[in-house]
Amino acid sequence: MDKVIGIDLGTTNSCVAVVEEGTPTVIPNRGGYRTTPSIIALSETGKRLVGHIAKRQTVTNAENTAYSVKRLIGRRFDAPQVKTMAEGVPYHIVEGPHGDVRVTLRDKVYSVPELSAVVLQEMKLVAEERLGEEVRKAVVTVPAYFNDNQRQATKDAGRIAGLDVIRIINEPTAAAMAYGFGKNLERKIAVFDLGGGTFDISILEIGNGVYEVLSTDGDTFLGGEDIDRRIIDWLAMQFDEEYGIDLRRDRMALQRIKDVAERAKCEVSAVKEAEINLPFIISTQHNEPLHLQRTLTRKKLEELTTDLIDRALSICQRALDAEDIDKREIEDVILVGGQTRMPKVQQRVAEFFGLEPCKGVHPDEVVALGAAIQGAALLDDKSEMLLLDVTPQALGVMIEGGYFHKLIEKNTTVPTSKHHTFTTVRDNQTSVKIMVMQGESIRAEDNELLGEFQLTGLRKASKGQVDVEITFEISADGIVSVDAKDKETGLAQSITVTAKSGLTEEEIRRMSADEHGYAMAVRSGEEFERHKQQVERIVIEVEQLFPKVEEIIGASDPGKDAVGKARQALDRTRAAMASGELHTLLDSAEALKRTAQMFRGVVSKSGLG
Amino acid sequence: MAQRSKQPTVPRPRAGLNLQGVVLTPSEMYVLSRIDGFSSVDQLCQITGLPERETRAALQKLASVGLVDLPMGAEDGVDLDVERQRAILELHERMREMDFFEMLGVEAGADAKAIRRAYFKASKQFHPDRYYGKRLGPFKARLEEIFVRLSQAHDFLLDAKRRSAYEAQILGERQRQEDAAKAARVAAPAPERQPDPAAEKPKRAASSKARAFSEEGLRELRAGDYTAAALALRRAIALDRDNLGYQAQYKAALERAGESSADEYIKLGQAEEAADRMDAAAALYERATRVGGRAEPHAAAAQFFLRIGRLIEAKEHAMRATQLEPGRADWHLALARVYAVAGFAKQARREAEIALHLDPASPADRLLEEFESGK
Repeated sequence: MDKVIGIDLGTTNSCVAVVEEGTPTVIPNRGGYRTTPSIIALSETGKRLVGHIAKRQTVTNAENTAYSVKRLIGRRFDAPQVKTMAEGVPYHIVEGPHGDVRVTLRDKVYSVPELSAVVLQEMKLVAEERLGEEVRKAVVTVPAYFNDNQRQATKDAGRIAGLDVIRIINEPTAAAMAYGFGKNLERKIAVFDLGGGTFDISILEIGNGVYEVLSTDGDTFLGGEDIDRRIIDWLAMQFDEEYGIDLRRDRMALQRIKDVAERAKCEVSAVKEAEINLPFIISTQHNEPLHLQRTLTRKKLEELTTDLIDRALSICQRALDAEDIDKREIEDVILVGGQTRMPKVQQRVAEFFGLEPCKGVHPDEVVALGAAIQGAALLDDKSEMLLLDVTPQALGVMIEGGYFHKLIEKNTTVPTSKHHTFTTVRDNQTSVKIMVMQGESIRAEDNELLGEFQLTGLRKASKGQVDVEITFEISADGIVSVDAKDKETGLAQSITVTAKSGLTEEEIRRMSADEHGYAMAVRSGEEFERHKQQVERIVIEVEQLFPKVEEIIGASDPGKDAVGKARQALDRTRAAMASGELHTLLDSAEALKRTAQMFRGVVSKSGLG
Repeated sequence: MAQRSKQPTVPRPRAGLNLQGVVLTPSEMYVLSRIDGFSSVDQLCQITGLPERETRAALQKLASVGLVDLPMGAEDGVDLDVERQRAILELHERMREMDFFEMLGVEAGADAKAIRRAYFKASKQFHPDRYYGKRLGPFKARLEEIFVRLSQAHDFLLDAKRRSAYEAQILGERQRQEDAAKAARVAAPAPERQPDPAAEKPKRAASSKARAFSEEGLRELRAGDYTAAALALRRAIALDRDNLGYQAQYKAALERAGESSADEYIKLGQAEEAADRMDAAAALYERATRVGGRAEPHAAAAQFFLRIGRLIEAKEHAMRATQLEPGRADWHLALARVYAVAGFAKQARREAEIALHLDPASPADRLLEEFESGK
């Protein structure tokens, strides 16, 4: 059976897991870290960097380092969230050919799915190294509030990375699956997911291995980064007061403050206070160096962020209210996301639900584990686990007056099918335009347009006399189809709604091919590197033996000849090592191995004699 | 992985063949007459001399109305074992006639926990994800339809408000069906022994079609699509004009349709009002008053117009509400308020007094007190 990996493609960090012999396990990357920063950079030499290496060079190469791209995925360039992002990040966000978002790193323009694909590709490589085989299938997680366009863009990113994304599932749902794995539970739980960039809350019912999502809600712009920003603002404002300089205007200073703010935030989760010390943070007009020194106490941080936690809890209440659930019905709370390590968050969540959050799950790994579990559950027909997923946002059509008529409510279990009968609004109306939309606003224009089509050839009649039945269907894999039918004549028209990721099929294919080429290059590069290291050992040995051998046999003519040949072999091998070509290296190494053998023979004979 | 039975499918006639209430086409009847319990589907296709598709469709129809058993020789290219195929087919065929309790396999009094358990258990059998990556052929759509119906049953039965009314209705319906079946058994002679006169046939067909429309209408009514329900019932009446039951159902559906769209317009109006788009809100409130003949939308519109100071419209609607439902104190009170704001003290007092007369607990007394103290 094909192995399927689970990938938590996070805003700040990503994680990959697999179910091996029935046990879900996180796969650490080459550096031994269990999560990998979702950061992509292009170095000065045009080399692509991902993960920890990319993160480490962020300070010096800020303009060419893309982070938090998940906040951009599947969005249109003119979306307000994109504008906010563009103002706040050092890398350049530009408009793509389809009104989509692109990012420039050095002189190259990347689409957002391409950047996410780089991270997915990295996770794929990490998994392949561990499993020792090629991985083709993956379950990838997204926030529960992601709309269909954002989900599609994430799927496209998978395709570009050479992965068949067999299912997109919600992060909190994945967390719940990991939580319930291997236990026979029957209970209602809440998943509180406060990650780097976003907040998600989901209420689920578990029973008999079935996971049913009851309610989800969230906020796209509420997470650890917002807490960091509070610390940054606090530091910068005090500095401004003292010296009249806004550090946030200096990119290098800002980056250093960002790093230190994040570190201090993590520290005060464990201890009561953290020292912040940034010498030579900036110079005055008179070239005088200034330093930043402060102490961040846990209490101060809590004070700075009370309203953020309040906001998260009010969203929890909204999620409960939406499905008429009393918070006392919740029997366990799972904390997900690094930000839930903050003691104040834990305390407030405990107070809100009136119970201690579950300690058994790892907030950074639980989502990837759940994704791997769902992947295995789908492929294994004997699996006892089944996920009943729900629609993230309402689906419907635009009706007269620019209003949005919901046919499928948010939080509806899929697969589902709903229909509604509309009537004509004008006399002798012979066609209707069906605009399929997704969103929660009553005004159609505030929602996302997923697709449109026309039903023409209606019989002529006065208004209100022709009935058109519209049916929405969502399959288990999330494919939406819409059908419009004149009930009297049977005349019908339908479409399968394809969400728009911002890329054309052609572009995705080309990017996928490029990425495949890149992966091959990386892989062969790695192979060369491995051989080079072996050859290097032989080179060193020959070099060390060289003077001795020359001394022993260099006097005779045949000896001189042999030494000359040995030198040639050595030089050729050195050149091959620099060439980067694998077969040249292997050829020359063969010759050098023979030389080494000969050298060893000469030395040992002379030693014995 | 495909498990296919080597045996050919042999349709068998059901014991006690009963054509009561079944409408068949001549070709379906003909196919039925060829079924002997030995010939396989393939053989029947050859025997009948009809196009193969027509024969197969006829067999499906005969199986679906319960006249023959069509044991499933597995369909080609489907990775489901025969047992599973049969379970899916059976439920799929029967689910249209099943009420929500039967659908989940729970008792009418089942509590939320039992319903959830039943739903989860059924999901594990019928959710399409259970068969991920398998070739399902036509079973994919069947599974999806079954699961949709299961979810519908589950959601509905967990909704306490909608459920209690439904429960009463279902129990009543079951009783009626039993009674009707008993009556039919007593009254109806077996149809094959008494062939219908040729002239009677179209009429019978029409009335059976009408019945199908009426059933569809009632189903839509239950599912909450009142417009569709009214439409189906209108068709039923067109086919069977004398049926008073259909006419009553049609009227009820129309009323519900009016109510629900009026409610929707009011909801939209409120949202527009909250967003401070008063013109749009006004248009929506007006529209709400034009569907269905209820007083509520007029009262809501009156209050809205009063809030935004358009007193003439407020008075019109408030008055209309009292005309449509003269016995309701609230409407008279609303009208009294409009009059009071407009400065028609006498009329206001009169309406307030009527309100108080109709309902001694009405807050109209406070309005009256205000008049006393104000003057």
